[in-house]
Amino acid sequence: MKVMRAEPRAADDGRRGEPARARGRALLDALRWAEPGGVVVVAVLAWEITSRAGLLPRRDFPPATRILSAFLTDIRQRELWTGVGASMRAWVLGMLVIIAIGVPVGMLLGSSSVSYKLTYLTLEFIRTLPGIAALPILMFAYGVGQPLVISLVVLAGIWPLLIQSMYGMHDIDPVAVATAKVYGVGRVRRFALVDLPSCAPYIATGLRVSGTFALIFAIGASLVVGGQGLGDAMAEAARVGDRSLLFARVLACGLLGLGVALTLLALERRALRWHASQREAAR
Amino acid sequence: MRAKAGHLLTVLLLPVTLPVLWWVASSRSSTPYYPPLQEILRGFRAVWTREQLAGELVPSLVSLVVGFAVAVAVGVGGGVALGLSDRLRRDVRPLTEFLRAMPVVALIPIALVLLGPGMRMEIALIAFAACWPVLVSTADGVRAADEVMLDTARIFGVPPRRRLMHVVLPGAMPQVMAGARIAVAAAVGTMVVANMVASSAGLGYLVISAQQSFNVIETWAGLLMIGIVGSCMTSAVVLIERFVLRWHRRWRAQDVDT
Repeated sequence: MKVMRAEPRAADDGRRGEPARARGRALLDALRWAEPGGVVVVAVLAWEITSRAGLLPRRDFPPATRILSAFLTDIRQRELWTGVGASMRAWVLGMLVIIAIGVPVGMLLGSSSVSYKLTYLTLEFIRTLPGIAALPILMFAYGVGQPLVISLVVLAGIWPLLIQSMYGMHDIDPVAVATAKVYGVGRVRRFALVDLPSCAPYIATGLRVSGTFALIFAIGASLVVGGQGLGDAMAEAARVGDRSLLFARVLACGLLGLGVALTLLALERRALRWHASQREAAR
Repeated sequence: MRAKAGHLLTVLLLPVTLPVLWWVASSRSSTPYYPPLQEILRGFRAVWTREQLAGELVPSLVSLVVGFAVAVAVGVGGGVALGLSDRLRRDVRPLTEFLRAMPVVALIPIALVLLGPGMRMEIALIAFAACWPVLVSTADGVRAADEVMLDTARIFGVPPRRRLMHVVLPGAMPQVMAGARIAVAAAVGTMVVANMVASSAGLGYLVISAQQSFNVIETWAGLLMIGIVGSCMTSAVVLIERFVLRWHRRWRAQDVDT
C-alpha cells in the first residue's frame, strides 16, 4: 500500500527532471490505446465481413462501410441535426429543472434525520418505478410537444439526483458540523463551507446518473409520440426502409450517449479533484 | 426494542399515508385527467378481468422475467470475465462504453426490423438494457476480491475453478445483487417502452391505446398495474438478495446502521 502511494510522486519528479522519460511515457500511453483501438477495428471488420459474406442476412445488416458512409452523408444534412437539436434542447431544459428541484429538495430532506427516515424508503421505491409509464397521463395533461417531453424527462430523471443529494446531507461528518459550530461559524457560511463540499461528491454522481436517464427519455419520447427529436428521426429511417440510414442514426444516438456520459464523468472528476485521493485509495 | 418499533413506524408512515392522501385529495377532483382514486380502483377491477390478465399481463411478465434472467446470466458471466482480466477489460472498454451509453430506446427500431414485433424483440431489448448494471457492478465486485483470502486459497492449493466458485463469486455477491436491483428498474422501463412502440399486447400497449382512445380510467388502471408489477419485481429481487446474502447480513446491517 505504501509503495503504491510513493509511486506517483516518483513519476512526478521524473516528469519534471527528465523530458526523455516523459516522452517515453507518452509512447507508453499511445501503446496502451493501441490495443483497445485494435479491438474496435477488428469488431468493425468482423461486421463488414459477416455482412458481405452473407453470414447474417445482408438485407437486415448492411455492411459497416455502408453504414459509415450513410452516417457521413447524414451528418451533413439538416434532418438529423434538427432531431439532435430538439432532443438535446429537451435534455438541457429537463436537466435544468431536475437540478433546480432535485438538489434543494434532496438536501432539505436529508438535512434532518426525521425527514430522512420518513422519506427514503418511499423515494427508493419510487425510483424503481418506470417513469415512462406516466407518459400517457402526461399526454392527457400536456398534449404532444416540447412540454410533454420535458415533463417526462424530469419525472423519469429526477430521482437519482434527488436521492443522492439526500444521502449526501445525511452522511455529513457530524464532527465537521460540530467543529464549525464550536468555532461559531454561522448557518449560512456553514452551508457553503461544510454542507455543500461534503454533498458535492454525491451530487456529482447523482447528476451523472440522472443525466444518462434523462437522455434516454429525451430521445425516447419522440419515438413513442412522434414530434421532433432523434427518436422520430430513427423511426423515419425505419419507415422509409433504409437500413443503412437506420443503423447510421442508431450510431449517432450511441455517439451522443457516449458524449453525454463522458462529459458528465469529466465534470464529476473535475468537481471532485480535491477528493480524488480518496477515490484512488478506495479502489 | 421500543426504539426499533418507533423507527419502523417513522419509516412506514409515508408509504401508508400517501395512498390515503391520494384518496382524499382526488375524491372531489373535477379535472377529467385526474379522476378520484375510488373510480380508478373500480376501473382497475373492471379492466383487469381474467381475459385481460391472460392477454395483456402474462405476455409482459413472461418477457420481463425471461429478459431479466438472460440479463443476469450475461451480466454475471461477462462481469466475472472483465473483473478477472485487467487486459480484457481495457481492450474491450471502447466497445462496452459505447454499448452501455447507447440509449436503449435507440435499439427499438432495429430490434423491430430484425426480430419483428412480439416477445422475442421485447426479451432481447430487456436483456440488453438490464445486463449493463449487473455486468458493471459484478466486474467491480470481482476486482475487489479479498487478496488475503485469494492468497490463502492459493497457498492451500485450491484449484482456480474452485477459487472462483468459493472465494471470488461469493465475495462479489453483494455487488451482483446491487446491480440486479438497479437492473429491475431498467427491465420494467424497457418492457413498457417496447410495448408502447412496437407491440399489440402487453401493459405498455394497454396504457398507450387507452390513452389514444381517451379512456382515462383504463389508462390509470394500466398505470397502477405497471406500478404493481414493478414493485413486485423489486421486492422479489430484494427477497432473493436477503436469501443469497444471509451469511452476509450481519455485516450489512452494521454497515447500514453506522
